[in-house]
Amino acid sequence: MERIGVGDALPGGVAVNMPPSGVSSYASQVGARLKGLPSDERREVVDDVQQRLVDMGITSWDEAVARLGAPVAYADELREAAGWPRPGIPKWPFVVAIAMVLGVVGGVLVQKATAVPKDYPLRFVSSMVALPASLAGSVVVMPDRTGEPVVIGFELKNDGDRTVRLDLLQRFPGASMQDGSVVVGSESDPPLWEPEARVFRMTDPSKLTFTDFDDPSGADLAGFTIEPGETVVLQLRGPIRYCIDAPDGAAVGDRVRLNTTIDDEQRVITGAELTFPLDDCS
Amino acid sequence: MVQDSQLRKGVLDLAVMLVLQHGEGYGYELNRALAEAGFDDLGDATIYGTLRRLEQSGWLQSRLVPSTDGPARKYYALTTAGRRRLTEGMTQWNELVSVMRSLEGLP
Repeated sequence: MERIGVGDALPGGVAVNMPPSGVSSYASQVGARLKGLPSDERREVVDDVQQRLVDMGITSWDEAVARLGAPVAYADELREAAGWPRPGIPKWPFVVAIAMVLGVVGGVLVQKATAVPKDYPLRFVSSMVALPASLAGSVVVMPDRTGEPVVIGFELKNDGDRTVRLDLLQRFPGASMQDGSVVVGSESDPPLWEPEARVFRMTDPSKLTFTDFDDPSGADLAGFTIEPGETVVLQLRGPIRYCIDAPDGAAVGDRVRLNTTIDDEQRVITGAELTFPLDDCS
Repeated sequence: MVQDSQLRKGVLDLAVMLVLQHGEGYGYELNRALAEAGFDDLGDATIYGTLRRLEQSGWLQSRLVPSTDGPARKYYALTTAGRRRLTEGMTQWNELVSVMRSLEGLP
């Protein structure tokens, strides 16, 4: 179907009136909530919603909200009725994500326990593929400039060549992907920090080493190496306050402990303790 | 009138197609027709989403018609496949009603 947007000239030279700004804003907010849809389809939804609001005689933002509910609620209801899948990063608890990271580590260590040098790359890849899908969903909560926690998702990928790639997924308001990096903010509204993709190269197939991944803000994240049977301590440090979803009852300064159940028969790892500094995110 | 949301959801596709069986209509017209028929608390987003889904399924088609009092209106109409789907759906619905009535009449 040929699409005709608001502001376009229609066949026959009929001008399309501009809807009231409150109506446009409402429709735009609905469209903004529908992340994951192709951009053409989102634009079509925005046009359609505008047209529907005008047909209902709605002339302002307040009236739209009063009659149809918040744009977010409208978009969610629309998504469900249309059968569109929900996009985005699952907000799993951080400890689950860490457990998944340990799964990667375990996979690597399994490789060490069972690897045959000739086919190591293939075995490594196959073990990584077998891990829970792409590990999207680890969650780090960081405060933005207003002090509100902002969720940044991490995604661990294996590029098939002994390289584990940790990408920051877009969750920051206004974030965009540019040249493989996540860019936050703009010239007029500079970002609090500028996350970027980091690549960790495995220097030794027998262990997984994360080193030298500097945050652009100047903060350091401590590197760590995990070997079979080793207790692992991962510490994040630096001026940026890293806040994580803590277990119920945890207080600032507490350490979050994650005990994993490991099948010793498989000689994967005998236990792990992940320690993070908790900070006050308020 | 139709209060049970699950029951209503199950027949909404058919209800929308029934409204459109005699000719094309645009969003707000459909809202009013459904409300007058008894679907009086359906959200606009639910009806619009249903229209999008039926269109994506190939059962409806749409076209934009210029309007002087606002943005172009999108009119929806049943496709041939949609008419076939409506006939099938109503046959199943009538069978279901018949079964329910016979159950209702059991001692």
